[in-house]
Amino acid sequence: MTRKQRRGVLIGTCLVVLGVAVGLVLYAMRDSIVFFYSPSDIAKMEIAPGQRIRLGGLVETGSVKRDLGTTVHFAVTDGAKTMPVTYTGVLPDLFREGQGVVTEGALTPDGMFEADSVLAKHDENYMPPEVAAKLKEQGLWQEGEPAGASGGVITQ
Amino acid sequence: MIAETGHYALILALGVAIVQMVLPILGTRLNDPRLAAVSIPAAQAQFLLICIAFGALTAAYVTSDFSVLNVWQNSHSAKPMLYKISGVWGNHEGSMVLWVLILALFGAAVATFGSNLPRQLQANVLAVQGSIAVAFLLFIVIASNPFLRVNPAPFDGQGLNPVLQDPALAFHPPFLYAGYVGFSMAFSFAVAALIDGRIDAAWARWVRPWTLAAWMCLTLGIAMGSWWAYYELGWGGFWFWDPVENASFMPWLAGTALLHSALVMEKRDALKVWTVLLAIITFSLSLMGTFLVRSGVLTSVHAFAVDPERGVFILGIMAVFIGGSFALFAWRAPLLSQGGLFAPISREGSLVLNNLLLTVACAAVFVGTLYPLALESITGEKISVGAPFFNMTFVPLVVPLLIAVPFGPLLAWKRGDLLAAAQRLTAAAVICLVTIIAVLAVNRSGPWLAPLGIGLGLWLICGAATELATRSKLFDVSWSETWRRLRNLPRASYGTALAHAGVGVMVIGLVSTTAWRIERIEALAPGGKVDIAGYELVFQGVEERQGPNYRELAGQFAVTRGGAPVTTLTPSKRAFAVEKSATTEAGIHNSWRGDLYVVLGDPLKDGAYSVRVYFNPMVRLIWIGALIMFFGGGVSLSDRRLRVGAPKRAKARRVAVAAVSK
Amino acid sequence: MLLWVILAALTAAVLSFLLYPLLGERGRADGRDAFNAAVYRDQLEEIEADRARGLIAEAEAEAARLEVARRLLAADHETDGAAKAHSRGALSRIAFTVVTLGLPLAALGLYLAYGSPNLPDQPLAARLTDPAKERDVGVLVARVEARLRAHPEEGQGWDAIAPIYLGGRRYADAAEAYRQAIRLLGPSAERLSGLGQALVLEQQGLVTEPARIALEQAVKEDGSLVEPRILLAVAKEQDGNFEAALEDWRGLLDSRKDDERWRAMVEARIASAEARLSGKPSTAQTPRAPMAGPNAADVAAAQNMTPGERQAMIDSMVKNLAARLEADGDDLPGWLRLVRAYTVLGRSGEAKAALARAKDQFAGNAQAIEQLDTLAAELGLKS
Repeated sequence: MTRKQRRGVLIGTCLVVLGVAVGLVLYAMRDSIVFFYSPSDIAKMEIAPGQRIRLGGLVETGSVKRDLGTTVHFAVTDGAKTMPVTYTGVLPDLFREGQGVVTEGALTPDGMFEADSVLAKHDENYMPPEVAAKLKEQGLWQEGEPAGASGGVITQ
Repeated sequence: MIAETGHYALILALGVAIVQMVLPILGTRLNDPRLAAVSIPAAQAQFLLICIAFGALTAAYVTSDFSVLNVWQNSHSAKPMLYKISGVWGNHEGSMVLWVLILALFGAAVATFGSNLPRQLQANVLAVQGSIAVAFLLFIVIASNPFLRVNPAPFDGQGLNPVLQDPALAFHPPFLYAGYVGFSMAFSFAVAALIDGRIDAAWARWVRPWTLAAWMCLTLGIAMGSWWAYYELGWGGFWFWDPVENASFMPWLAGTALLHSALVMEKRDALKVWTVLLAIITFSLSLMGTFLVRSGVLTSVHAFAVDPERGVFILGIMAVFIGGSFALFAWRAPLLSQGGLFAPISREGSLVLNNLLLTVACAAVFVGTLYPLALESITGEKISVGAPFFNMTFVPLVVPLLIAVPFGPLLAWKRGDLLAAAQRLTAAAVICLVTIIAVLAVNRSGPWLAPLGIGLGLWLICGAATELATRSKLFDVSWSETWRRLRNLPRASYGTALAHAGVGVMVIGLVSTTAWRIERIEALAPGGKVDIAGYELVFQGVEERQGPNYRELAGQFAVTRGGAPVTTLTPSKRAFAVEKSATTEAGIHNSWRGDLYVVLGDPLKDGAYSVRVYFNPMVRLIWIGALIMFFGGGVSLSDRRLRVGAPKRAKARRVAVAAVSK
Repeated sequence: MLLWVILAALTAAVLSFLLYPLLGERGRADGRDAFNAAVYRDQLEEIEADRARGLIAEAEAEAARLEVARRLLAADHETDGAAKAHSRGALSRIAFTVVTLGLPLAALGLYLAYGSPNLPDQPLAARLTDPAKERDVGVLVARVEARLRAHPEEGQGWDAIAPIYLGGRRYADAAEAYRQAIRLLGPSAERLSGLGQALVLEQQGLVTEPARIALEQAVKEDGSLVEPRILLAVAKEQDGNFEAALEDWRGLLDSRKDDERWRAMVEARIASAEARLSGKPSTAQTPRAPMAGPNAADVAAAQNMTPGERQAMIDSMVKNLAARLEADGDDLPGWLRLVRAYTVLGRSGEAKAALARAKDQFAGNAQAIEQLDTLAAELGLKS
């Protein structure tokens, strides 16, 4: 093989692999990306039942109901709108009424949200950023909750 | 006094790092060996000073000195000693100190053991290491200072996030950082080469072994993190394609590519410019890994503090180092001498293919990780890119690589013989085919791709064995001769075979647990039963227990198999009073078939509990595979001899064919 | 003083170590080719060793040797233009002076900006045995806690610390301490009542099942206790059982007619429960907080109101508190509560103003100022 051919093979292989990779990424982008919505977004937009989305907000106080089995019903609210959610499984340790939550799943034809995963906030001062941003838009949540000491007693 | 001495030592280390950055560069530019020689004591002094600082911080944690703000925020007097110590790096500030400590350790190693390096190269490398240290020490002192004090001191601390109070996680960050920072060695050599405009032969002595060491630490660090996620988070999963995981996985992919291209450079003196570029990319990804996690850009347990000042500082450091080194590369790389081109079918060629697929796979992960961030900052739309994306992009890119792996070591340097390699692999291929068919026959209902995955894993293991068999001329010569050859084989060959086999073991674990995992979610009252994978679990009720700094509600599950008692599992929910937080502890029983994994959920009506039970077949192979890879790296590292890749002369087989056809 | 000696010694040691090469003879010249040659020599030796062990054939060894020779030539070619190294004395002297002066000054400057040289170490063990802090509540609590960790079976300790926790708003700790005391010393009306209150307060006023059980037992032990009876009535309201609640409230009013602390609140509850039962929306005046500020029952009651009612109640309570403090400012807990309330309501301007006023009020009282500062830090108020 000549030098030129060798270079050709090398460059050709690179292009093929890159092309395949770009194709895969574009294809996957179209199919496997999940958008994040608040209950108000869902009310505004028409989202087809069955499309995977993430729904975030606060767990409405008093809305958590359990079936006899392991199915849980609760409602996610952003202050303006509320979305009923059903979930079968074990809720995370930090799932509580009135706290931030992100659920992933799809809408059912009758306007319920069926979640297959539920993520709760991770610690006392922490709220999933998507949730915080959406709630701030709705004016339900304000910054300035205790978030650790800063200033004041720190001597410098 | 201890705390204040540590604080001063940290600041003095910053000063020393500035000296280490400036004087050696001046020395090499102006051809003044005395100035350049300052780099050696500077690197050593910097290391000692950071040791003092780290020791002082540790002492403050161990003695629960809550007058140190950082200790008060992240420790508590009731915490077990192990977590008081691991608390030092279980928070943002302390983890940054650990980062620079490891960086300084590597710098001191170049200074102390670098007597076989040309002075000029050593001085430049240390100067680059010094500049990284300056950036990080400045960041620590100004924006993340762990030695700030509180007066008057509070009486007890606020505790450490309970999910971080775990032995595997106590050692996960040090290994991860050793990996990240270890790549700084390759980076510093690359930048030094660019500054100098030449690549010394001494690169061979330094870049590959240090990259290998860093790669080993990163492999172990990632495996520990995934192991922790598996048993602590209570979801029974081991890898979530979470941005934080990806942040450590990208440097690993790039580092694996670097390891292989450094091999070409050491053995064949080729692929130099690419290796320099890859070294820069790898360390840039390591920086990004540190920062994505630390800056709070990403959402997870790891985002300790969301602080805009830090974020901007961090972005600045990244821009300077990544931008600067790429600019330097664009400007100076044309000066570097290119190695020769080589035949596509050769050991070098196979390593190039490895590099190509690894970097492209890394790029796919990169896109999936950063695209949501980019989209949100541009359009404000929030999306999440999860496992489906990565399964659809990463897996198809890596599978061809894994299929090709056994061929690589069987090809000769310079020009290889694909047909001969394929012939040698016939036995391995037959074993794999038989296994695939057998697995298909047993699991007719299962996913049809899974048996192929198992075959792929086995292919890697058999391929590694084939390489050793070929090199020892198994069956071609007498047993004693084979044995003699096996003993004489360079340890690096064993390292390669082990590491590749480790990948195979891991693939088998990944495939079987993904394809055949069984999950049951049940509402169980005491006396309730679950049947899963041949086991029978009987829920015997819950009891409250008191731990050192938590209370827990532990469920009792008697496990039997075919009537014979196996074990009792006690999954629990722990409530940590100080941190006002809860964790889930899974109950896990492991056997050679797989893990029985039980999680206690919420109490339901009538004294029942929701209970999740998993059976994860052969899941342990994932981490066993990672361990084998780690040991393979270690074996290879112990072989410090400098080898030249000896090309084979024209093949005897071809000569024979030619003779017959005449 | 000792600290400065240590820091000075550290600096001196680092400087002398660092600058040693500048003082020495002119540094070693850069024999770059020699280093490269050493690598190639090692490689040749390895080839020879491999050949001797039979790992590579003679022909391959020959090819490898050629390869090394080729690299050697290539490296030679590269080093042609390298200039001769030489040390200039002047340069070393300048560097020496700059570093000797600059390094300590810069380090000291930065340290003074961020460090606290006057603060001694305060390891917990030493602080707990420090006689100077004998009267500090924090020390006492910490000591009892340390003792209880070592001897968790001492019921007296739990019994002593539980009310302190409850008063200090550490409700989860309080509940735990009461539980331990009950386990070790047996149930008493006070302990059960404390446990119930702690559990209710921990849940922000919601009377949960375990709390209700504890409270009922407390009343069984000692029917004269007011707090558990109030909370049990609230529990009935929360269950929607207003008739039973009304009965309880009336009973309370009868038995405690002369107790000013409770009467106003209980009367308001009666009015509101009656209104509920008659189907009308509550028109009853929001109960004025007694001098002690909102108590557990008020907070619990607030849980049951509509958001509008709750807001009105909170606003009026805050207004009352502010008015009272305006008249009589010598009430530190009152100020702390006011600042916290303003912050929670999002009125941070007023919170800061109240904080400043409180600091004026307690200008001479270091402990009070400290408490105010701690609260400000906790709430993120820049004072």
